[in-house]
Amino acid sequence: MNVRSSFGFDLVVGGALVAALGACSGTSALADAAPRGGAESAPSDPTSGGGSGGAAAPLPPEKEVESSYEVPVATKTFVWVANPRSGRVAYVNAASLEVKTVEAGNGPTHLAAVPGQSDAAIVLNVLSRDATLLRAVNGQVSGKSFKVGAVANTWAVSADGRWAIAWADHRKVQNAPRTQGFQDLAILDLTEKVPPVVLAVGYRPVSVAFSEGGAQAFAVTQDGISVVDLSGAGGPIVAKNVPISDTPIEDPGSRDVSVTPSGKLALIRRDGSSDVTAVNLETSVRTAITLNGPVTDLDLSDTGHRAVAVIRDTATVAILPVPQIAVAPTVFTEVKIPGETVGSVALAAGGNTGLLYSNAIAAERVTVLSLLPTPPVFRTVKLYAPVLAVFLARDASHALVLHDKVAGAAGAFSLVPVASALPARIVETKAPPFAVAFSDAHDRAIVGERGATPDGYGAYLARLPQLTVDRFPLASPPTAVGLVAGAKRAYVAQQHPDGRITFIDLDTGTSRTLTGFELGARVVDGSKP
Amino acid sequence: MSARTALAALLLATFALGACGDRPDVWDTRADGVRAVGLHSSIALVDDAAHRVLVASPVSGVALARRSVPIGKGVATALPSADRRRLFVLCSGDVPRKKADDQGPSLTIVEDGGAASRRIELQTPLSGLAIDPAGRWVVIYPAGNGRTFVENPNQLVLVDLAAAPEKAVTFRTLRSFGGRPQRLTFTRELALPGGPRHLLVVETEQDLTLLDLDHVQDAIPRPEITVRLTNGLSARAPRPAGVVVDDGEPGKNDDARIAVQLANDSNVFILTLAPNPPGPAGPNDFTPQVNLADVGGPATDLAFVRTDGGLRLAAIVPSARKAVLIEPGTSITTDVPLPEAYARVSLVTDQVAPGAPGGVGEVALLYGGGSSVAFWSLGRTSGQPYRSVEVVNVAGGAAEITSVPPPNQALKVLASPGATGFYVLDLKTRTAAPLTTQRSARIAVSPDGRRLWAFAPGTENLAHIPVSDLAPLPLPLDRPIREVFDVQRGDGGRALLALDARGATGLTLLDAERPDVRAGASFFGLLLEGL
Repeated sequence: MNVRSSFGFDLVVGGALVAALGACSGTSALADAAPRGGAESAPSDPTSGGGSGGAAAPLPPEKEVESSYEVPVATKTFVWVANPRSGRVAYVNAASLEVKTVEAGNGPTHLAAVPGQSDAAIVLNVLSRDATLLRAVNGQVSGKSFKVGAVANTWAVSADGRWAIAWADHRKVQNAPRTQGFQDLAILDLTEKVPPVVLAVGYRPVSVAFSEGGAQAFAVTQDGISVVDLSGAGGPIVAKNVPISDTPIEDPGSRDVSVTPSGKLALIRRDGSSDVTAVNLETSVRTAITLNGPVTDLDLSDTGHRAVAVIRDTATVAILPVPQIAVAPTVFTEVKIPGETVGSVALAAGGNTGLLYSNAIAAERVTVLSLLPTPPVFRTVKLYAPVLAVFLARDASHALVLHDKVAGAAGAFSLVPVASALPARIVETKAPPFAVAFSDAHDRAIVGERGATPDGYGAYLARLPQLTVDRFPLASPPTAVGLVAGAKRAYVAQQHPDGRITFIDLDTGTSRTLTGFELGARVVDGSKP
Repeated sequence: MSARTALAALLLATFALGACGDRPDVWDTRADGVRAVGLHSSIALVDDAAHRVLVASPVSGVALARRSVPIGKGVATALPSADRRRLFVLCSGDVPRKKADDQGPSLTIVEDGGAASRRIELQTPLSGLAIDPAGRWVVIYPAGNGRTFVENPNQLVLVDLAAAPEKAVTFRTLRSFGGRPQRLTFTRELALPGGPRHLLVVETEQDLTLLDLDHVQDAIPRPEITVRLTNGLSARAPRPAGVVVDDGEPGKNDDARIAVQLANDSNVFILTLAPNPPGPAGPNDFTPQVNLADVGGPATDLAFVRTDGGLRLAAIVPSARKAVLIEPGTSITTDVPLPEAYARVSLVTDQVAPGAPGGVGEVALLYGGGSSVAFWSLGRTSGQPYRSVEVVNVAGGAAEITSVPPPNQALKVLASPGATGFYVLDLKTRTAAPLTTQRSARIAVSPDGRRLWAFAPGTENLAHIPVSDLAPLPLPLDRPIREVFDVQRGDGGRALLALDARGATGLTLLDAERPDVRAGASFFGLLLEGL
């Protein structure tokens, strides 16, 4: 996963977090895609948020106040939407489209799906500084409150659903003074075996992830990687802080940090540097891996056994074995991609296939790199518009490429067969596409588009491997797309003061829009006294 | 003779003398102000003071049969059924009831012609009456002008006219979140997930209630469904201003919809009557799914229309001088700019092209603007979501439209209050024939669709206007006219009854098909008859 920080460095937290998202059964926009595009693009790159929404200015047609509703999250059957104003969370059964609400704390705002359970979500109540765990059993949702006690705006949830960490991503806080370090992590044991605890980590964390098994958590901060031991008898503690630079007190500059799922190794890429640094998080030993030019992108596979570094100047891809690279820094495989400009890589789940591309120039091609054969093989796929970002289906059968600066069109995307050498299909859009999600079965993809006028509010349902596409116009600006695996429906959340979401049946393509979540939940049918 | 005996004799004599010269109290009451209701083949004069309805029926020629039908005391409302075959008279009775023989509230149903009637005793004197257009239900509700000290405005009395007398009346008190009924709408039969249903839609000032009339008499009645129109976050209450209902596609039972316009909000509510979600069975076998669509201003009229693109809800937004087509499933709106700020819409597809296949695009008539009406063809053409908007200028406007019944259903009468003239709009030729009057006139359309009657209330001016040629025939009467009624005559012809409400009410009877004042007949003092 690639995250661009507001203070100037890129961060990649690898396998553990990707695995955690993947465990959500493909129910969120990020769960099944491997979104890339931040490494070379400007900070305003609309795809850097993966499956969630862009941040365009408020738009007509509906004269509306700021929406009360936050971006939704999806679990197996439900889509959950928080309403900070009402103090309630609306949950929509994506199968029946029934809308209900449940009371949360004061100012429920930030939601996260809780993996490992069929339908559960946790919401951060920003005014009461607590969290409510919402769990659906037989269609009935119950809530459980947890004290948070810290300023937070972001969730990290372990893959087994036991741990939830609320933390503050400073990039979501405008004009925060430097004296605000946002260093608190509120650690919640959702099984309630350990009481909630607040721990201080390094200055301004930009990512929080868990190790496989959830025994450790890692907070990547400006001071290094803070390692939190979750398995101690006395409860979670900050076990250590591992510097990731030989000169940690200097400005760290722009960098990507990836942590292996085991939590034993971190890989660091710095802009303009030919070195990739491997940091042993147990021993704090750092190892420099010198490549043949400045590394423009580094991606760690979700399995943690392989990392791929891209050197654009030399059109080289370095395939680094993990964790062996930390002790044998000169032993890796180099693949030259002659005649191509490649600066970024997107690895599919499993790490056996990667897509190489560049969005630093108007490159109208992507290169499919198969890492299983020895030596690795590659082929280049011709596209018909410059590449902005690449999203790979988890099974690496197809990719969806968002295009940038499309001459004569508002936007476009391409469906690219990856597993077979078939031509890509380009689809012109009415507005710039901004969000992508793949279905669990890898046979559908949903793309959101958002323009400046109502004509540009839409979503596209792509059928794979047929590469057919249907457009669904929307009544209001979309903010996020996703899929609800249990209901076989895609959803497109939209900006609306009373909440609006459109569901698209993945089989039939029929769409239904629900508007007014609180209203739908306030229908009284006499079934309750 | 003892003093007691002498006193008794004196009292007896006094009583006897008094009885000899007494007459019913009705003779001391005023006979004017009578309500007149036109029925299919008669007119009913509601004589509240005499606690009766006098039904006058033209028999043949200029003969007029009269029947007196007793009703309760204190007439609150008198309304005809949609087919004008019945008159419903709601009476409050004696309020308060202090004596054993004081009357209770009642509903009297008078059949056309007055030959039969039925009286239903009620418990509470209520003043509002809503009548099912299909003729099965009557709902009595508190209209806010009742005569009792305390009223529950959400108390309804449902009368099933098809049920046995002992099962005809059902009392229901609607669940309320502070609202009180403002308007009641009976739906036609809807294909709902649980089977065909007739619903009563009750609009309050802030929410909507759906009552399943087909299960209102169950041993365990199904509770009503309340759709609250506020999200609970604001004190501002969207006020319903009318509903329209659509049954959806034939063969489907999950797509019936109710749309609600709001008087003080730019949103339109669309309720889809969907199947209940899986899980424990609810008390009703359908559930309304709520959707909103913002149309840019308060909608003054709604209509479900079928276009080339499928079902749409058309909302008329005069404040923005536009109509808005809403796709019910997605809430996607498409603006249609209009040449004038029309306030009303009426589908005229059946009149323009009867029997046309569905889905080819309907035609709606827009009116209620200042100086024109417009034909809105809803088929899609390249580049716009409708085919055309064609304006017909009518100086003076058309605030009200009256349909002409078959066989001339392609005609509409356009009129505005206070105007000295009116138009006859031909939907097929899209022409508007003006007819002028010397003074403000009222127009009555004959139920057989063959003629119009124009008259100036309070004057003797009457005109007969055959719709075949729109050639007015003046028919000055001898007495000032209050109302006119074109009713079927007993011999199969048609009669015009011009009511003069002065004094004890008089009538002038003409042959409506061949009107001639010289061959007419006048009847005076009708309310003095049969007492």
